[in-house]
Amino acid sequence: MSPDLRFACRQLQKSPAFTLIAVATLAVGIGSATVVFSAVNALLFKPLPLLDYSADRLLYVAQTDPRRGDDDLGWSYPDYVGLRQRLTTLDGLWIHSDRTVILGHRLEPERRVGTDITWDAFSLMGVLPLYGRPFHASDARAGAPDVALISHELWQQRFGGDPAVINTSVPLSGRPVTLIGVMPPGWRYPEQTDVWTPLRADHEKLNARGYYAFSGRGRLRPGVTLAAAQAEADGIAAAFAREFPETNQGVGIKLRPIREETARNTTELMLLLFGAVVFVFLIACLNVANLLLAQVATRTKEVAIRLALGADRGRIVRQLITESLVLSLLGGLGGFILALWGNDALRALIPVELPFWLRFDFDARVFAFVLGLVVLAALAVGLFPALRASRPDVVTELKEGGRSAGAAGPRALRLRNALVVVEIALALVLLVGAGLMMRSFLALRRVDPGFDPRGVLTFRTGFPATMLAGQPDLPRRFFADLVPKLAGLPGVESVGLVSLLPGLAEGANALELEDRPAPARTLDLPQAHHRLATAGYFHAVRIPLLAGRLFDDATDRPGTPFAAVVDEAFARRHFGDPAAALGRRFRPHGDKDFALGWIQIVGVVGSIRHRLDRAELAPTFYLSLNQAPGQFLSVVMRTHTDPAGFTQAAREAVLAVNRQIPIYHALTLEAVVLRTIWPSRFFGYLFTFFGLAALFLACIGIYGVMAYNVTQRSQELGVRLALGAQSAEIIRLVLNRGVRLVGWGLGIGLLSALALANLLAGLLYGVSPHDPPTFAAVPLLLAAVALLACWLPGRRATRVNPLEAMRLG
Amino acid sequence: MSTDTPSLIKLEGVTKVFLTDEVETHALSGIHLDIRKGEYVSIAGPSGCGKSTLLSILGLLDTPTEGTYVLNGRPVQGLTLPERARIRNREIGFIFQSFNLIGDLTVYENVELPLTYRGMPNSERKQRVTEALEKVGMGHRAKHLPSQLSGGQQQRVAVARALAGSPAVLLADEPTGNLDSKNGDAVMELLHSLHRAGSTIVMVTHDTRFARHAERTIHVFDGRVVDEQVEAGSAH
Repeated sequence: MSPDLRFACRQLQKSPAFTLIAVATLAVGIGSATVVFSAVNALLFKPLPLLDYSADRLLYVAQTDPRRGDDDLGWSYPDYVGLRQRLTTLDGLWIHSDRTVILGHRLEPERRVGTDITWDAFSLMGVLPLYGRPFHASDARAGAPDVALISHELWQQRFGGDPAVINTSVPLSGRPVTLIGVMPPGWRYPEQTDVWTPLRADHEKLNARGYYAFSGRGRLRPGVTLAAAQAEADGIAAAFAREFPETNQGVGIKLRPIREETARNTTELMLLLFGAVVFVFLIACLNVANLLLAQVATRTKEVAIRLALGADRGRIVRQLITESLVLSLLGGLGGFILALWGNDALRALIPVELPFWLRFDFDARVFAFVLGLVVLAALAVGLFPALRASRPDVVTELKEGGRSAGAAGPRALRLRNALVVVEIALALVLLVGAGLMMRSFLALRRVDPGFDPRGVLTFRTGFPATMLAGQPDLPRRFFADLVPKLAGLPGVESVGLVSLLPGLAEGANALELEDRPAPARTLDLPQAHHRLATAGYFHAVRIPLLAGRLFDDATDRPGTPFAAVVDEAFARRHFGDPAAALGRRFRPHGDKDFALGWIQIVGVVGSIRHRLDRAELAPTFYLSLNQAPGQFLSVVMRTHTDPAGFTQAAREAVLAVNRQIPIYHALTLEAVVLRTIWPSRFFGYLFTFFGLAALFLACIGIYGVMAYNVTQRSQELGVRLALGAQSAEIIRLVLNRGVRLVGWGLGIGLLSALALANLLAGLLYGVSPHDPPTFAAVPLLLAAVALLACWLPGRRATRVNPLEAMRLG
Repeated sequence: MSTDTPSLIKLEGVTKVFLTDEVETHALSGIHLDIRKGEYVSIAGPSGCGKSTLLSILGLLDTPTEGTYVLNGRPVQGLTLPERARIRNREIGFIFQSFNLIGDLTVYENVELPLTYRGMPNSERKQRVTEALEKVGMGHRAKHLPSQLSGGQQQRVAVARALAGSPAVLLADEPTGNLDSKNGDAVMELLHSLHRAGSTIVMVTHDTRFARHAERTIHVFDGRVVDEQVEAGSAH
């Protein structure tokens, strides 16, 4: 071990309290920054797993409808084919469409995510099966044998990693499919897929121009800029509009880097958070620098001796930097451990399944980041104290009793005071952010969603189209048998079915109202969400009936005119009040997919919030599942006891009705609702954590500065005590300086928070960005904690021994 | 000491002026000094006369305001800080009144410290440190911390530290000032024996009893050399 390193370790051992505080401070700073960086890294920098070329070339390609403000229509297959034929700036273009698949094969049926994908997509991505073969063009021909690739995860979990399963046939959504290969571990493209099937020429959605059923991706040709590719795509979109005006008028094509697309909703927030933790890290460094400065001030004599013995200034700086490097390494180690824990905590805060490419695990970039922070911290905390300590008044120091003690000049004192002011200001900004986010989350929890999510179990089940060959009525019969079976379970109060649960929004439909003149532009047509439901659904989730009636299977039969129940928002917007809506008729605009004809309103129910974080109540209409059956439905069961306890009974009931059908997404309705507002809770927790970290560091900072001031002023304080000053006066003297710093910090912090709170406006619900209670409570809390940090050195000041202080002075 | 012996330290017209609050304080005024290799010189004078300032300049801890200083044949007044540090490390050994050992280093490490700044290999450092400690009779305390030693022992360690690098000159600033008479005598005897073995020693003292140990005593008053005494038996 080098003498410098040995001495550094000894110095740190000698002052365990200092070492502990400094290491803990750096650990908090480095740990916080690392946790957020791992998320930023996952979102913005980490390459897509297994991709053998830069993710920068990978593009998200979507058709858009700027008139409707829709920048992601998806793709219609004929347009995709046309684009692929004409586009020269991309050397690969593929589309895919997700669907539910049901795996049979000996064990219980299991639901997995399946993806129909262009046969050459994986080759274009450069990701080939680990075992077996990729898709060939022949697999995509109409009438070709059914083949599938499966994920490594599915292969392990479902087939025990048995290679013999390749080239065997397994039942997939009711049809025998040959498994031709296993993809590499971790590959779940595009998000969480386990089964890939080639998009075949006889796919049901292939020839519908204007039917946007697919997602598109592409690969930029090497050397081509995004702008050039976009320009070419614009030209092709214009050509489509000329050639197919009925479907493609006004429809554009947008190319976006895949990173930008996948992270676009969170990038700004993540960068905001990253900015916050960078500040937390810098504060931690400056805090430790402050502590070191006070510590090395007591070592000027040692430095003077070293200089007298022939060490030059660089040598002294090197030695002191070695000490700060050891501190930083320990802080880095602590920070890394904190970050590991924080990373798990971060993941646990996200209640939804993440796409396969979003991995928070630490890679080389995160390790490099931590090492970089360690080096940066070593320099940031050590350089300034080392430079100051390495130029003592050697002659004076070496004299008997010599004590310049590295006394801080006014400039250094001002710098340290400014540092504390900045710390308090930043802590205030972060705590205000945290307060706003948490109040927003609480406000969301208090929102009346229009239904009662408590005591309700939900799950999803149903039939892929391939299971309905020759028996289209299967879902209706299945659900008709299932509902009474579930309702008969002991402890179940009511059971209902709905096409989509509350909280899961989907696009609205344009409607035409009978007896109302059609607007000149389609865009001006009224819009409404729609759901397919049974009467039991309204009972189970307690949506009140306001007028008319709910669905009645005896009256609302298949083949009779369609009946609708609309919500209050729908009724009030178009007819004034609920009662006035009864008997009125409407139909979906275009009606190509629905083929419903005029739909008569038979009842009006209360409005529900499809998204709790949206203030508006979107108009919604419900159709009877008896008239418009669904293949996949959500079941809602109101129970007398804990609904989660009914999951197994529900699974058994479903299997008893049809042994080929699994249930999935089994959750309480409360959990479903909570999932819709998880970003508020997630960022609320993060801001709170970093706010508290900043508060902790600000306290250490102000304590350090005040304690140092007391040390510096010990002679003056000794004289005052000798002259009869009371303890309270001494404490007041010390506190006065602290109060000034806290006051400045709070003032600057408040102004900054007022300015920066607007950045959070888009994330807040029910709380103004300038929420008075938050802006009042946070400064009070901060002032109280900061003044406590000032009071402790003040109390110490009263214990100065006047005789000793004056002698040393 | 023969006059043929080459000059080790030569000061010509050295002055030192401190400027505090726009008041000039003349600590040294026109000092001329010539110290030859192997000499044992004491600088005596009352408190505040400038003798410590003179020693600081001799030790390259301070620079003269005017005048020239030639150490071992090399003018040193215009050197950069790193060059001065290097010369301090190789040519000068310090012995301070308050010992100035580093409390967090063991006896061995204190003696080793100037050698580490020289970049000396570990084996050579070890040999030199051991020899120096043996020379001052502190070899058996190598692993102790300074706080575990008496004042006299600490000063002997400080002497060993000054010796270990085989410097051209030992500068001792009131080396007995913090010691009782018995320990003081022992340290003076140690310096005497080092001189007999060939070391050049410049010692600042206000104690005439100890000043007489030197071959030559230079009396400083008010920043000037006012007298010089050569002890009996000296050839100077």
